[in-house]
Amino acid sequence: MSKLNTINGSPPETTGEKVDSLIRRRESAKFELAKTTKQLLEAGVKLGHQETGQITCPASFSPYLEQYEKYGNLEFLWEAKYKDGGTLNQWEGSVEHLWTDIDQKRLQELRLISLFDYPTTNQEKRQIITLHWQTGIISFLNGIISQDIKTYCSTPRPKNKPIQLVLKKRLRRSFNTPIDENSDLLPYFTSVDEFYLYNRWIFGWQVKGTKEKKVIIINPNGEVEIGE
Amino acid sequence: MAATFTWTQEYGASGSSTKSDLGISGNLFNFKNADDATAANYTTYPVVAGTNSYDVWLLGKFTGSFNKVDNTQFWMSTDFSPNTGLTVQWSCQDAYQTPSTGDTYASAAIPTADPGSQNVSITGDTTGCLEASGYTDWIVLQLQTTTGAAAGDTSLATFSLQYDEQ
Repeated sequence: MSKLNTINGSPPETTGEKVDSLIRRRESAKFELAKTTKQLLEAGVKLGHQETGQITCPASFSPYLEQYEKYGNLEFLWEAKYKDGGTLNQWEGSVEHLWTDIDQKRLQELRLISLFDYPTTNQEKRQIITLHWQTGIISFLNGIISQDIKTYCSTPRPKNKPIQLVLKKRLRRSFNTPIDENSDLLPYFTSVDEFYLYNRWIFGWQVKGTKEKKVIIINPNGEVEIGE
Repeated sequence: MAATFTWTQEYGASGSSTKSDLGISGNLFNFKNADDATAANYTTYPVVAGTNSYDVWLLGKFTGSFNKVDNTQFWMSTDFSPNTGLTVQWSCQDAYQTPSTGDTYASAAIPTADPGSQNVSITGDTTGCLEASGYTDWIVLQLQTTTGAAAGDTSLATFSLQYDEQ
């Protein structure tokens, strides 16, 4: 926020029409605030509050908020399973592994596992997206995945061409310009000090030395898109 | 340990400037008629309608352990509303200059949506990346106004930075 000085400001009208107009704008803004907050949360965006440190999330995500904050504000974590039965988890205690720690020669499958549960009668309720390293096929457990995505992900990798793992976090951080503590508007703001956390995962494989690849984008609410 | 991101603002005369970590949210910066790294005094240093604010020199700072940070993209997610007489201009610079109210550096219209490709350079290269702790190049922002701008507080503006971390 900024403040402007001008010599051209007109005095506010004090008529009933002005009051009506202000009420109309205020009510509209309240509705828009509620509606956009709901839609942002449904999209998996987390709203943070600097002063309190609280994260606003849907009630369905609340049970996982502690883990979310513990594991670097991420909704999905990876787990590598090796051919010999060994595993490597993204987090071991308070230590986070980089994906380059994964031994791709020993890799059997790489799984992205949601912190949150999906409403399902399956015994496993987390959303799990698995890259089968030997075939290059990507499979899904839980979540709503379109047929187009399933078809795209069910094509095997080309034989006899070495592939490399594609695993990135795409992180978006948005913030407001703040309001001055001396502003006469400050007492009327209820949620000015917000920021937005929006994470996505770029997941798949690429044939080494070429642009041939199979990559999906996983959104923080579990929705999946075909990658670029 | 993943990358840790924070905003940094550089201010002061070139050659004796100061880098100040701002955090990731909350009271980061404002447009005003002063060159400092304090957000909370814009009412003391208002921008006179028809003039420019001092330009603000921001950097993305990454620390911690990571393989690579790249594809850094910056845009204004929310413009002032109403924005009559208010324009935010920007550029990305690979060398720091003393902030001023001139329009030499923040000379282009700021993107108002995800630009889709890297538009914040690293070491002067728009395909550049960080492979260890460091900074992006400078994101230079400036509020440019006309005499048609309304008096008083503007609405809030929102800015976004997006990056890929491996």
